[in-house]
Amino acid sequence: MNKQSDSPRPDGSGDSPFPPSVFDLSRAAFELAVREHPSMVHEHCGTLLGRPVRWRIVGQHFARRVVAPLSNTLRFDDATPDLEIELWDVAATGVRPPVEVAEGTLVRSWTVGLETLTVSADGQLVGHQLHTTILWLNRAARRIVGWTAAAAGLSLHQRGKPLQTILSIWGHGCGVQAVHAGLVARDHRAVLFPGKSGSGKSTATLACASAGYAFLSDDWVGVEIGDDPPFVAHGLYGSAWLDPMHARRFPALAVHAVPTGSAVETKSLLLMSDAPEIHVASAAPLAALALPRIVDRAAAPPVRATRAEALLVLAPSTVLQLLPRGGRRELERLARLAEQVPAYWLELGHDLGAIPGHVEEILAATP
Amino acid sequence: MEGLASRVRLNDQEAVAKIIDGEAILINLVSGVYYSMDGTGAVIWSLIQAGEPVERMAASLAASYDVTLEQAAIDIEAVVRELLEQRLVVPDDVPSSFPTAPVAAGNGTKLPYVAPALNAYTDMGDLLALDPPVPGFNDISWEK
Repeated sequence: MNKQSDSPRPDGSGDSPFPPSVFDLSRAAFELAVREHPSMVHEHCGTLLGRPVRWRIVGQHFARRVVAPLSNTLRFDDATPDLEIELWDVAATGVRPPVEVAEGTLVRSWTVGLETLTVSADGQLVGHQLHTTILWLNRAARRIVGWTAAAAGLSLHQRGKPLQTILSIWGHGCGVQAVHAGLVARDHRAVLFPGKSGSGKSTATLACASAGYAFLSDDWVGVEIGDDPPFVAHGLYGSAWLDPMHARRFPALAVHAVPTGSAVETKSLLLMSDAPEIHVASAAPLAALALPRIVDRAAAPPVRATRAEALLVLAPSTVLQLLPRGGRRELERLARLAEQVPAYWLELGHDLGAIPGHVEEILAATP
Repeated sequence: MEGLASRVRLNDQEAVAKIIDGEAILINLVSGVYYSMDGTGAVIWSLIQAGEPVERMAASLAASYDVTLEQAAIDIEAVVRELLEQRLVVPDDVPSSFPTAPVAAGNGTKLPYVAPALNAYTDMGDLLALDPPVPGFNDISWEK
């Protein structure tokens, strides 16, 4: 379902640059939760997309669930945060949110699948709702405030990739290009596996991570695409999804997975913090693009792909499947990535054990 | 070229496009179908981007490729109609302010001609059936 509405704000706050009511009221509610439950406040300082981010979460169970997939973030102590994130658990604190439905709260709203986005006229305030969790990003204030109805009600997706859409939007504003891809690294040189759902990027990522490569991401990568390479690629979460096929192919990882209890969510969740054999990292310079291609035979060694082939793999999946949806600017950035970073076809055949070696060949062939 | 607009341009409300390494990549953001055009197809796309009138494209192509003016016109009309049908371009009758020139013909030797083709990839459209794209989202200013 895809619904867009252009409705006036119920709070009548018009088109002011920083629509105040819902964000300020949410902040006030958060501060109330902090004051009333100081022992339930959890603070976590870690980098996201290479930038220091401070989390304050009221509700111990909620905090544990949000922080668990952040195992690949780098801790910091004294840096001024680029982003403050303030969250509270309504059930645990008893503090009610100012609004319980995001749609129609700001000037424009979209419902995409299970997610609702609502945005102020200038794009500075963005609201996001998924199930019973609502988040507000004030880009000018560099702050996210939000709540969940109850930590126990978080979906497996929310537990594995907390705040993914709103953090994608924040990263977009920071100039970080989201790419629908897996990411691994060896010796601080990263290889990106772009592709649509089902293309094999998770398989390639998990095969390499199981063979000693650093795991950075299984499906969402932020790339800082400047004028010249190397472009730094960031993973956002130390988590991955395992579908039933992955569970059979990677039994050593599957034993750590959190099974889905939902008919809607078909994949189980692997938190890398639960898999001590997996080494995680947060960022690395991008050395190569490996374009996964599933074949029904033994995999041939990697071969060089053209830049147009690389863009044909990179762009549609990223532009069409990630939020915020891309456009001309994103296509230009992805084209620069395809032009500047060497790309190879990586066949995924019957023997998954061949994948890490083929990725090693790609790295060896790349300056 | 009866019934065909004199000029067409990218339907930037619904599509994005980029030429890379002599190949045009186009994405329909609404349908989720994406496309490529190489060779003469990419040349035609570059002429569209340059604002070249459709009726003059054949001359540009025939100047550089081993094809008659008539055949080039037939092929161009077919591919432009397809681009219109796929909503990748829209009619544009505003004259371009940029002068256009024939495709470089090198040392006078004409290039082998292969008729332009719009290659469509529908695999993403299937994935987006339950989660369609959001046209208009890029109207919002995302920069700081």
